[in-house]
Amino acid sequence: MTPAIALEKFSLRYSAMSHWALSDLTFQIPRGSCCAILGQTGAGKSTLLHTLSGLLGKHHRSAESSGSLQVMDSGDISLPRESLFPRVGMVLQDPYVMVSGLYETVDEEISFTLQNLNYSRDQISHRVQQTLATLNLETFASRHPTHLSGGEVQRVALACILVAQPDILLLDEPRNSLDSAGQETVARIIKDFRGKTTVLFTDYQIDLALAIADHILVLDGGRCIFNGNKSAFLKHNEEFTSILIPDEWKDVIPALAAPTSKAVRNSQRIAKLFGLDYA
Amino acid sequence: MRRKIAEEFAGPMLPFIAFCVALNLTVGQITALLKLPVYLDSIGTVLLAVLSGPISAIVAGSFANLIASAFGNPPMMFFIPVVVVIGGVSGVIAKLGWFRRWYLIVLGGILLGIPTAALSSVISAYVFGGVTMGAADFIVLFFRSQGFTLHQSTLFQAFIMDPVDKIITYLVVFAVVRNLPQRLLHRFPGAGNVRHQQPDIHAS
Amino acid sequence: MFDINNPTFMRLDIPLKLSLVLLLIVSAFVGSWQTNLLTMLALSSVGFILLLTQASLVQHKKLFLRFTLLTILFSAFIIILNGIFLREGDQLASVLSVSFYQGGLEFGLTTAFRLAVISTSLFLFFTTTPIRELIYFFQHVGVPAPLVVILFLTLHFTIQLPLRVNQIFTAQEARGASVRGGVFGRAKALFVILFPLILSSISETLERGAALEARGFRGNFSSGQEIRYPIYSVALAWTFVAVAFVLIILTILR
Repeated sequence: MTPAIALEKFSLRYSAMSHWALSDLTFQIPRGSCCAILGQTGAGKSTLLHTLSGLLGKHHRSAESSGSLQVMDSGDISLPRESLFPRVGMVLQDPYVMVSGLYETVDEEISFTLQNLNYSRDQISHRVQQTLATLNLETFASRHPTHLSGGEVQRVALACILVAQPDILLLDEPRNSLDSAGQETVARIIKDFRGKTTVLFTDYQIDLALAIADHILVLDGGRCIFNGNKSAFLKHNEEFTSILIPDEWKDVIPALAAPTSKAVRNSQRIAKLFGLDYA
Repeated sequence: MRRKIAEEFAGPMLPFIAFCVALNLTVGQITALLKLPVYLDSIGTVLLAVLSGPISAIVAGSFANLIASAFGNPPMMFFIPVVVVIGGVSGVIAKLGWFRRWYLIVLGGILLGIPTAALSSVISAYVFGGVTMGAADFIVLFFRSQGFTLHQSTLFQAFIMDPVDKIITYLVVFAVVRNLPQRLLHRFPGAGNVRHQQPDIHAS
Repeated sequence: MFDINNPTFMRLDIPLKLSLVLLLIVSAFVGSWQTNLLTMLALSSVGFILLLTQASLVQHKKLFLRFTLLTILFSAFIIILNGIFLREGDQLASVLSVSFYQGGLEFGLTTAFRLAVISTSLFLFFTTTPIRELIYFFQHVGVPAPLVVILFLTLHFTIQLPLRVNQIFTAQEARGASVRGGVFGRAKALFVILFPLILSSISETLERGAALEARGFRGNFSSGQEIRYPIYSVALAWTFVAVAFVLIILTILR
């Protein structure tokens, strides 16, 4: 079976005169797997997700690419210039902007996605109920989308995309500004949807990646410096954790200089929480 | 032409247009908070004319006037023709590249102030008898007490206040668009009105 | 059209109310100050009856009382100032060596009551019509989807922007910006508030636009609301519109 996403020496820059924001990326993401994309701020994580969703190519007409990029069975599409929704669904970093503001209840808000895809009224009703149940949002169905907590809005934002049942789900820092309960909810949702959907999420901490991802990519300055599974990642952990944690933090908090064991313990805790085997 | 209009009202632009409507309505709150003797209630219209185009600017300005009418300032809806002039003229000025030089937009503000003053004075005089529930009413009343006709009074009042208001509006919009990061400016159909399109050197 | 649980003006459908407002606005321009005064008194009575008899409008009571008071004060202001400064016609009276002229008073009365009728009819309309229902009506009559979406999104921003303005104002005051100084200091403060407000909002609006695209939005929008108006309501609405046009034509011909 063709991979969900395949990049071969893929590079991207915003215009002919700018530096390469992504350089020589080569990796494949198997269908149904969960991939964590790690890296510091500015590493190119969001750029990669926006490229895969088609939004970057659409909004930056002067953007150029080289190499090949394939999404599902598309063949080499180079740089997608239109949104690939609903095949590829993306939840942006700020969940509050995912809520359109056009509706007064959560269920109407979620149904907006399917209206855009010209689903019938019955189909919309059925799918929305299904999605509300899957994401434990039934009690919030008649609430105003903006009167919810950060974690609840994040779930609504996810529901707005998942209701369309995309083949690939892209999550840009899904744990951003969530408390620990909210973060665990998001982690649980990712865990539930992998297998059915190919999930890619970005993060700057390694604990969630180690707990639930099948595949890990580490980006640094637009380049991929690690592409492999958890075990391989842990073998090189010192090298990558030094990249993931800025140097200035290590000076301030010496314990961060050797965080691996702590990260591993945290990952084991998360994995145990979800009944996952932590290999 | 149709493609340009479609670009102005493309899905991703709609939140920005809505923001410009709200900006026209809200800026009055700011000038009141600061107790400044200016309106600046067409900042959103001009911003949209520069970054997008004149049609969306006219629509946004008209919506703002209608909403203002609905909530406390009824005469505003009758000044929609003035909004059309503001959006149209600002769109042309932006297209000519005048928003790349501050002295050109001061000239642009004066040029805009003249037709808006002429039009708003006619509306004010013949629709409302010079009374529009604003501070300008005192100025009109003063001129009338000196023996000038109604239209003359509203015209003089408009020529005193409008060009100044429009120059300040243009300067504010100029400062905003010139300071917009390139990665954001790129996303607007009117990006070329602000700067010659430069390389986007900021990766997001 | 009629729901026993709703007040009279609220029972009326939006097209009927809109056409009534149009007729009132037109009559405000074509009628004399006497007819406008009677119209205003009638509208104010309707407003008071609604407020006193309908629990759902209690939240608007204070607002309506304040509105009425302001309308009276403003009308008196216009009448008196025009009576003093427009020295047209006969001198009617002299109070504390201030003279009032007939022409000025009549002009003041005409203008004041015209504005009062327009304000009161708009106020009553928007007090008894939820904004969202009005936007659904616009969509029902064929306003293009992008414009309907803009109206809905404007509701969001008109709530958010003032909150953000207050936040920025407080933050700037806290860092010592001269927001309460002389006029030049306050003018500088205007830029200091506007810049972060506009720049951060532009960034947010572009993200919102991207989010709409990420959800497959292509410019089509359906509220999902089925709207039907009874035939007699629509007929009556068109009658009011026709009367308004006839009044305009008669006035032009006169």
